[in-house]
Amino acid sequence: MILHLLKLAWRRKSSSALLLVELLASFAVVFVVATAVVYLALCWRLPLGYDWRNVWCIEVDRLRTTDDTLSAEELQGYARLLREAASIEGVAAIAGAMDAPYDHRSSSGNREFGGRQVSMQFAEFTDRAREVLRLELSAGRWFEPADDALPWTPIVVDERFARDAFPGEDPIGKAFGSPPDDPDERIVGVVRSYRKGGELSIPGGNVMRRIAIGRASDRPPQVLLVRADPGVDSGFEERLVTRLHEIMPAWTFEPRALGDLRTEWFRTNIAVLALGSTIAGFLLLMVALGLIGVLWQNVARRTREFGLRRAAGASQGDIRRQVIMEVVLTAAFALGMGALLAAQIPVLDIVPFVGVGAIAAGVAIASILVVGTVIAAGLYPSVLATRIPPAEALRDE
Amino acid sequence: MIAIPGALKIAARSLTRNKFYTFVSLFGIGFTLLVLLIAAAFLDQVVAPHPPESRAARTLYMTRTRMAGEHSVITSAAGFGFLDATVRDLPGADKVSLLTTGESGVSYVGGHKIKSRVRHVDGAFWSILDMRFLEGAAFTDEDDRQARPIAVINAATRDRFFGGERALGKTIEISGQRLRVVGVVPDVSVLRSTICADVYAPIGTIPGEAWRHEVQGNFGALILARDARDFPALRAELRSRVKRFPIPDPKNYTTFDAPADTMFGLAAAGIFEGPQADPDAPGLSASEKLALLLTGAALLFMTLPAINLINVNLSRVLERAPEIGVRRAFGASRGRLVGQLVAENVALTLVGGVLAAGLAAIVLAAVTASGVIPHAHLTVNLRVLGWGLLAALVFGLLSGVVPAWRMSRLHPVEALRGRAS
Repeated sequence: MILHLLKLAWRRKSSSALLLVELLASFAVVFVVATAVVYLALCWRLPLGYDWRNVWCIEVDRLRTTDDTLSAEELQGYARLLREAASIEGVAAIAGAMDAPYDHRSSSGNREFGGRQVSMQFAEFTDRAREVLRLELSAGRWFEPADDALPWTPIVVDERFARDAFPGEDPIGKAFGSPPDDPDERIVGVVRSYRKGGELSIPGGNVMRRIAIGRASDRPPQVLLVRADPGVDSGFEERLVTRLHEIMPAWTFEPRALGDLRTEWFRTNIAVLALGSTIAGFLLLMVALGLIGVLWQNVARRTREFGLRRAAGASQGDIRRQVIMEVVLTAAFALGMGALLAAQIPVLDIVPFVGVGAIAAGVAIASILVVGTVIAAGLYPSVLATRIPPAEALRDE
Repeated sequence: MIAIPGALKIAARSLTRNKFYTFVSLFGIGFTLLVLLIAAAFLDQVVAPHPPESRAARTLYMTRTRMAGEHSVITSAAGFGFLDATVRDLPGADKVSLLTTGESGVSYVGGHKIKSRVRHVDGAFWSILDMRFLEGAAFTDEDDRQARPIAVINAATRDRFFGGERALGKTIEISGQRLRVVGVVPDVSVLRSTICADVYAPIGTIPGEAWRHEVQGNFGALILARDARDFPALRAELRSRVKRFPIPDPKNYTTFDAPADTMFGLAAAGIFEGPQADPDAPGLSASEKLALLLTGAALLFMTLPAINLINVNLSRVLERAPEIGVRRAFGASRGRLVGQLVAENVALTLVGGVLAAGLAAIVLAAVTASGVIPHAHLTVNLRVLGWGLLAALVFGLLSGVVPAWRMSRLHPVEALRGRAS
């Protein structure tokens, strides 16, 4: 029966072709949205590597943005800030950093290790960042004050970077390939993970550099990360900022709880996904309505054909199945083409970070939704096809 | 020529005959144009001239500088020292204002934290913008030079600090600085990122002195031209001045650029950053690329709805085969029939466009009221409506021509018998 239906579809190839293009385009739209959703859901399950609860990120504005060198008094100011703020009531630990989790800044790069290009995100921390963020150390050690005396800069990487750059080797003690005029950098430890972009971020390797406060060549931290004691009262933030301001009156401090940053960031991401899904949903509804119209007309024109089939003994169910199967076959053809095109994404490595699994899931979800839409759109016209009694249908001219 | 009233009459009759097809068509057209109108309204809010930036069409914005060497590139806002030396007295410009990119200010009032975006501006800022004052007035260049601790605040800040009471003469404390309020202005949408702020204070009140000598920092400039036609001349002068400006670290950095462009040009340069950031350079400018990209995106978005509408229209045309047959038999030319069908489709699209405009107004009012984008005032204004009309026409033609052409090929005799396929 399928072969016969294919023959029928082939006879009407010019109108089937347009239908095919339409279904292919619908598949593409749903596929993109579905793959994005699946991919992000998979990202969500990867370990974050830090604890954002009870942490404040305090943006330090020195009212100069790119001037990377600090005066001697500013350098002392930083040291004093980190030292004195640690004794503020409610502060469990304080550290300096270049950026904070869930903020919009990022610094990334590519380097060659053993002939492979490895991409990574950079972070810079002072010694106590591990305590503040509760980073999980899985090998080696974290930064410590004694590192000030080292002639090279200590580096801590995450497990993913260690795997990408030194597969099967122990990363501890490895030199971190740097331009010749830079001071040497060496890996001293590995943390489990540090996904600064949050739960929905694209996973990638991380490289953390130690900031030595007081060394004029080091870039000054842009933010202070503060872990508060559990159960601090609502006045904590104000006390903290007032006190910081007393220590360094020339700078401004903007405090934000990481939890709030996270909520805000989460809302933005979900809003984008929701907008994409809504638009895709409406497009699918529009396609469904259009299909009903097309099939309706199609069925109306073929009254005599169906009449003849009924007269020859086909049941109402047969006719209904035929109408739906015809359009499902066209859809299957479109989906096959769509899946072939989708398969090019992993083959040509167009979006390298999205795995085959997410793409396969995207194809599956898009196929189910498109076929479902097509069947739903075919139901009413297929009933129409059987409504007219065979005798009348045959007389119709 | 098509007799327009007659064609419209036929169109109206055929549209009301099969209400389901009309509904399906209107749904698709309305939804497509709704999405496009909303996107256009957002774009309009970001780049088009709106009060207080009524003179945006003849204003050049300088918000970024780029210092490049063999090993590294620093892209950043300009520094005050550089702008003061090269831009402030630019010959040929009507007015020039220096302003900061906006700093965050934190205040605590009665135990509550108030976050404000503070922007430091000079006196010229207020004469380039046509800011309406709810209370008081702007400060002057003299206030700026004297570093008087005063501020102009927006209505939202007045509400936050003083619960909506008159703020004139009162003092606010922001990031440890006490400023006396001399003026209150309406809220400016955060989408106008170059000029929006909660608190405007004189540049002179920035603490310290280091910022006065910076080449790159957190400043930008507004350059008001007498006419948009002066842009190339102004930019040429600016380029030669920037070229003469000594690069602070010539060993590591060899080039220094500070492009000035319209709001749209800046948005474009942000996307296609690189050598093409110079709008007077030969070849496609960043603005033209962005315009092409936006047009392409709009057309791509219209593809699926257009194919859908073509399919629906084809079915409708086949249903009307007998009518076509009669008209062909009575001597109507092919061109005339194609015109009739395309006109019908365009008319339908325009009806969909009107529906979409109404819906878009409702959606945008809801977005504005929700406060998701602070102080944004999104509307379907005439400019947005114009773009919507253009999109509707393109959409109508796109989806009307194929079915019309198919129908005009019907053989009159076959068509009369309703045997079209």
